[in-house]
Amino acid sequence: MSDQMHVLSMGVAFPEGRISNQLIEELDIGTNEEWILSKIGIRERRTSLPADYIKSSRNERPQEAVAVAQDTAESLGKEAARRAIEGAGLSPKDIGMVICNCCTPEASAPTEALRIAKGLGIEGEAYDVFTACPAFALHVDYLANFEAEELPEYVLCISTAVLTQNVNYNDRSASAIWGDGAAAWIISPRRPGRLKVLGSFFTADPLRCDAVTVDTFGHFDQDGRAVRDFSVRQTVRLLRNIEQDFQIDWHRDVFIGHQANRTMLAQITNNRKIPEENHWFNVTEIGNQAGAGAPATLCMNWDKIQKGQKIVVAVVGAGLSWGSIVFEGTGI
Amino acid sequence: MLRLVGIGHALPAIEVSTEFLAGQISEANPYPWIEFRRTTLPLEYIEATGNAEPAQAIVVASESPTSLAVSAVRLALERAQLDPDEIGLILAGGATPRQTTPSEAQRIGKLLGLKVPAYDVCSVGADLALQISSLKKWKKSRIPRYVLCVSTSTATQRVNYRNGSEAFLIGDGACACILSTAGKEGFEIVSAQHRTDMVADYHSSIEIYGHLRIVQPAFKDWYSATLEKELTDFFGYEKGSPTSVCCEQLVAEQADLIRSCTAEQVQICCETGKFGYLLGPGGFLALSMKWDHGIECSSVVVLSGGVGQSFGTVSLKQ
Repeated sequence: MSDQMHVLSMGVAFPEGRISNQLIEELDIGTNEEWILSKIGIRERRTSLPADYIKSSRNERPQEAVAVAQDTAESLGKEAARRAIEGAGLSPKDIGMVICNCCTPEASAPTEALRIAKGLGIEGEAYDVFTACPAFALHVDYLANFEAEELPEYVLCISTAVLTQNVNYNDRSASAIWGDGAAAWIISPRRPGRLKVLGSFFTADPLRCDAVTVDTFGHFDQDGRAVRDFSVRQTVRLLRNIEQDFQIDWHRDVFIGHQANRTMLAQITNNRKIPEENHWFNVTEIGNQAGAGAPATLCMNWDKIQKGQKIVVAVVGAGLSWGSIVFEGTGI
Repeated sequence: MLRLVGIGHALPAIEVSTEFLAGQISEANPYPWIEFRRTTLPLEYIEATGNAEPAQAIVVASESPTSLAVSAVRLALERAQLDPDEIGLILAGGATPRQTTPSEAQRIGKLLGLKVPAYDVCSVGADLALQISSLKKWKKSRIPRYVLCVSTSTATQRVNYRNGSEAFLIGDGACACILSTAGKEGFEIVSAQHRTDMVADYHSSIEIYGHLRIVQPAFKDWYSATLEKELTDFFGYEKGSPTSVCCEQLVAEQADLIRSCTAEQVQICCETGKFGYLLGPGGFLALSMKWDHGIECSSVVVLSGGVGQSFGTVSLKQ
């Protein structure tokens, strides 16, 4: 077995609740479906909040959301992780390490990773590795830093968030963007799996970290225009470099971006001339799931991955931070 | 080879005495060896409200976890004789963030004026030990020349000053370490390990909108057993005994426990009695406080752990 990282399996979990564009229109906050579809391109989002609660309270006090929420970041993360573990044909006891990214924890101690791991009966090491939206790239790149023999056979990575619990539903932009969800994946530094990691990258520009915030006792906030411009520009830059370094052919290979909004993704795919069938996304039906969006999209297309096909993940977001992963399908 | 080339700490100015707390809280004090703690909360606020609503603490607090962290970092940089722009990577941790996004590392990077990779690596009770033990396992080519590791906590902003005994234990503060793969200054990181306990029942927690809770005697029992196991395992394979152990004191018999696992003459450096238990920084506070006076001992072990069910041990030598 060569020392090269592979993703063996993935899992996702979304709450059952849905926020349609019609519901947002009914909130009477200065938006409608036509505007939402043209500016953001999202039709529906998943939410852990009851619709009645959203309509009556607008979630003006996020502390109240916890009491009514039907899911938590932990419960979704646990479900996604359970599916990933089962998908790899493993038991929880096989997992040697768990890392987790969560921007909406129910508790800051113990860590989200430990609570999820404990809930699944995992006994290895567990801790949080966090950067919000670009977590997929961060986690893979973080693990790529390690000498292979220093990592256990199987590492569980999780990204989970219930950001609808931090949305002010009087804010027409935030209301339309966010959805809840979790994604998990099993990585091995030695065992082969369906996806081989060819390369990874992560970096940040903390000078602009105030552009996207979630106050612990408050709501999500962002400088929408600045973040949108940064997201498109940075993703295009990442893709240009990757196209050259990895000989990407968009007629064969696939792009997955940060699932922030469909219109922004369309700008990127138009710029790089990526055909629609090789652009995988889920934001239109799930909403922006923060760090879970890109890995969830990959998981939802798991059975489509072809041998020799490259899957390019380029993600951007809070921090401001960004990163990429280039996978190759192994045919396993 | 990974080296600790600089370390810094920051503590808020406000002091909370045991006498003051005894006037606020009816519960018995399980931590009689702690005389003072530092807090970011005005004493008038504690007296008036008991910090019943932690959301209000943020409004009145003199410092944030980020401001304490940056102060600690500046001291570490000064001691290492480095400029901020020589840092190539920031890893941070903290259990009491004012914002759940962006990461603490990114907030610290902004205040230092840095445009470098920055993200949180956190286990609550042993952040610095976790970050150092991770770096120790990295490929050398992937480690920037200087890496900043930080743990910061304003856990008194999550303490209930009317009910429970947590107030007698908890203090606020931050520690920062600068690690390097270059040069011969400072301490060599001989070994570093970090463990999390997913088997034991929860003995401590901080709900995102609520208070820090420590369940006694479960916390004390867990900590004593974990400390003994950690020391026995660690010194089972380490050759020789350290000349100094830096730690926080969370149980009364801690000194005896440490000496029984190391050596009778081992020097124990601990600042908990004057500043309270800081969560993530662990024993690194004690190491930082000795730094400028010249650390005479040749080998040091820094212990961290507790809240968060994590424990870490870092062994250093000059």
